[in-house]
Amino acid sequence: MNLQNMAPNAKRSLFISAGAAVCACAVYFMMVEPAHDTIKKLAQRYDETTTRHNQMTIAMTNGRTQDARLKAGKDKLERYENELIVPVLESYPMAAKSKMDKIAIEAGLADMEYNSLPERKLPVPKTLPTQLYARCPISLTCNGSYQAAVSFVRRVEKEFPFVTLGGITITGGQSPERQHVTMVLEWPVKGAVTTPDQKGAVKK
Amino acid sequence: MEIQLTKTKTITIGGGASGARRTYTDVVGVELFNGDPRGCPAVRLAKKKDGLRLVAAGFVPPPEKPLPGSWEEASKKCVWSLPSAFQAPCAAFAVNSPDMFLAQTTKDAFLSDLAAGGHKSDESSAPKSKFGIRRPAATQSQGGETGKAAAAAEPGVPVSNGGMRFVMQPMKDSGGFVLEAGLPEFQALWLSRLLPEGKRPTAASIQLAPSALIASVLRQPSLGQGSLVLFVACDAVYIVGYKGGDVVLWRRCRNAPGWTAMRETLKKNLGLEDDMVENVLDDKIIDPRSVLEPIVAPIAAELLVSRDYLVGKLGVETKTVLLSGLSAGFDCWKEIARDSANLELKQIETFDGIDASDKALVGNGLSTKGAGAQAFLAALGAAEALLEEEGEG
Amino acid sequence: MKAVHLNLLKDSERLSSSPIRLRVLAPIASVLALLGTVAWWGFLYTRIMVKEGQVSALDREIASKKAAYDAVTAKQGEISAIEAQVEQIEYYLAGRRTWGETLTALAEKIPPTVQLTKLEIPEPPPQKMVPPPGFKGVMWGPTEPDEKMAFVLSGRATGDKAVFSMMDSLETGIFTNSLIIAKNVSDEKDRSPKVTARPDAKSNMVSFEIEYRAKERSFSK
Repeated sequence: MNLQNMAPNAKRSLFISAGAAVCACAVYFMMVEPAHDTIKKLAQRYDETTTRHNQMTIAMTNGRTQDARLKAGKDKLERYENELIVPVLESYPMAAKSKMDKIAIEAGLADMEYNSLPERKLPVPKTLPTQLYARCPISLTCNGSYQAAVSFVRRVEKEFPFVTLGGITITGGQSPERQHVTMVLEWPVKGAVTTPDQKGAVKK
Repeated sequence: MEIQLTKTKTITIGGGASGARRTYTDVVGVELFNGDPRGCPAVRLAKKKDGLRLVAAGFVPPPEKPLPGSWEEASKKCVWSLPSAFQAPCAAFAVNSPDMFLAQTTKDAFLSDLAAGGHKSDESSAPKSKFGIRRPAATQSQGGETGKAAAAAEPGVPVSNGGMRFVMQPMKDSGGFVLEAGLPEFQALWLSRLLPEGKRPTAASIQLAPSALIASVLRQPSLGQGSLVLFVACDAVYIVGYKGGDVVLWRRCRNAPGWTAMRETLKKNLGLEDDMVENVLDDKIIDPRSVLEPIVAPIAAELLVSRDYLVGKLGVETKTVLLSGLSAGFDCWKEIARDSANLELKQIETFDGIDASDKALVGNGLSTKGAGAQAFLAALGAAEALLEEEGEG
Repeated sequence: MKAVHLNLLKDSERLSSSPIRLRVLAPIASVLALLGTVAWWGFLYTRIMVKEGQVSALDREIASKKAAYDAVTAKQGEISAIEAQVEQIEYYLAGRRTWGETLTALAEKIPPTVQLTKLEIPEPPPQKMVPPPGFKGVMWGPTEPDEKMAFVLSGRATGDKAVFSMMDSLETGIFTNSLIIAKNVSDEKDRSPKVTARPDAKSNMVSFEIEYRAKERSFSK
């Protein structure tokens, strides 16, 4: 194909065809392709926004029952926290003494002595609470008969539903009425406070 | 696929450098300028697996302008269109021109003709590019380009030189002869542009009417292994010998007029009206023998010579001479031939060997049988020659 | 047979009968392609506008609901925090064991031929705070949520029979709530009770120590 030998109308036809083809390619690569990309991104954004909107709608629908749940949760927590041991003069044994002495004496135990033992951790739920709780074992050594010790344990277990007997040792003493008793009484207690960004071990 | 980029440049995609010779399956043959008042005979043929089928046959209005006689006349563009029944993809012309020539000759003689610019070279200045086709340099100077023209003389490839266009085909088993055809260059160019581009049909073949006749009988069942055929054309009578379907002899009867002249003689001598001639010949109301014998007897004598040539030189035995193209008076011809030269003439039906029915005819009063069908011989032959051409691409 | 075809038409002079010319078709096709591409872009642009409108509408709606949603989220956070606290306290409650009834019943089951010198429910060992493999945070809770307990009786008896008789009585009734009886296990560690008895050199009595595995304290729901 020799352009110089080409007839004017054939040349014109060739240039128009070539020009239109080049313009078509330019429109395609510079406008159509980017438009496709934009549509894809917009579709993605639309999907994400729709999902977020749906989540909001569902959450707000569920929110109608939130108040009741919140109140119920708060009430329960309050009831539970009332059972926690709170230090007296920064002393847990003092707090235990204030609660247990009367019962011990009434049960027939004597020479009560309270000491704190190392705190024991509780497993943490999947949602890490801001306020953690722990186990506060307090050792109580005293003297008394087996029956007095058992009577004390029964009364404590009845009147303090959150107190657990973590251990007991009764050994023979000078007489059956005066045996050496060592008990470990456990209370739930407020533990560490977490911050929202801390991750905890998940309870198995 | 052909793409015309300029008026002078057409490129072909998917074909050879010279343009692929295609295989044709639907062709219309048209005989031009035969003087028939009914119009130009046209025959549309379709190539099927089991042979040829006649799609349409009839007379179409001729082109608005006559065949040009000079470059100046040829420069006046003439656009022609065919009726829808004849709008095949390709057209084959069988042209009658006073300036045409067709001869059986040797290759050397052909090359001499080529060098000399043919039997009729037109050295007058010619418009150079009015056709939008670049004229070959050979038409402008004879001497220097003779070698090129001679070198380009391949069988079947038209060559221009000295204002003439030539083409040559070897005659198989003829003892080294070739058939040579020629037409003035301006007429060939004019004819090539007669049918416009972009509309069906366009010209795929320009043949001389006498050469088209050769192919018109190839499907005849009675052609056999060796045949002598007498063609009565409008302006001449031709004797063609066939051997195994190939042309081995072609000659024009000397001093034998064509059918047009015969009719005029009959009209004049018998005092007939123009539309009475065929009736008189066929019905034998008047015995035309006395008028016909001076015409037919010399033809019969030449037939004898030709038959002897076939037998003696080429070993072709033929007992019957097939007659084609005679519109009327066959019985009289038969008698004269038998009496004067002891020759048996047999008239052949134009469309024998082709799947043809009268339903394909376009126009009134036409028939695929009998004398009326003889008018379609050249058109049929032109179409057949193009269809039977073996394609390369 | 091949027809003699004296064709005076040159190949270069052949014209195409097809009404469709390439020099007409090519520009038309190219311009149509250009127009088609522009139309395509127009269609895409319309889609972009529509999508942007939808996204903007959603954004506006989200913005309008944000305050209420934040309040809901905050409240939900508060609820979650409270419920987590409650849950941990309930872990503690799940691990509570009572021994009052067992100790009371024990006194009735000691035969006269047995004298207890010691009764012990040992304190659990110190907690393990080993982080699991790959854990990088703070260990807020113990590695194991469960604590084993034991119940050990030491004393003297007149003979083995008295001890076994006592043991038989501890394998029934209320004791099964607290004590694990697993005599026929292959691993000695898991056997309960484990009995050690030896004759007392000073008297004709048998000194014994019986250790029971008690029900674990499981700090989980």
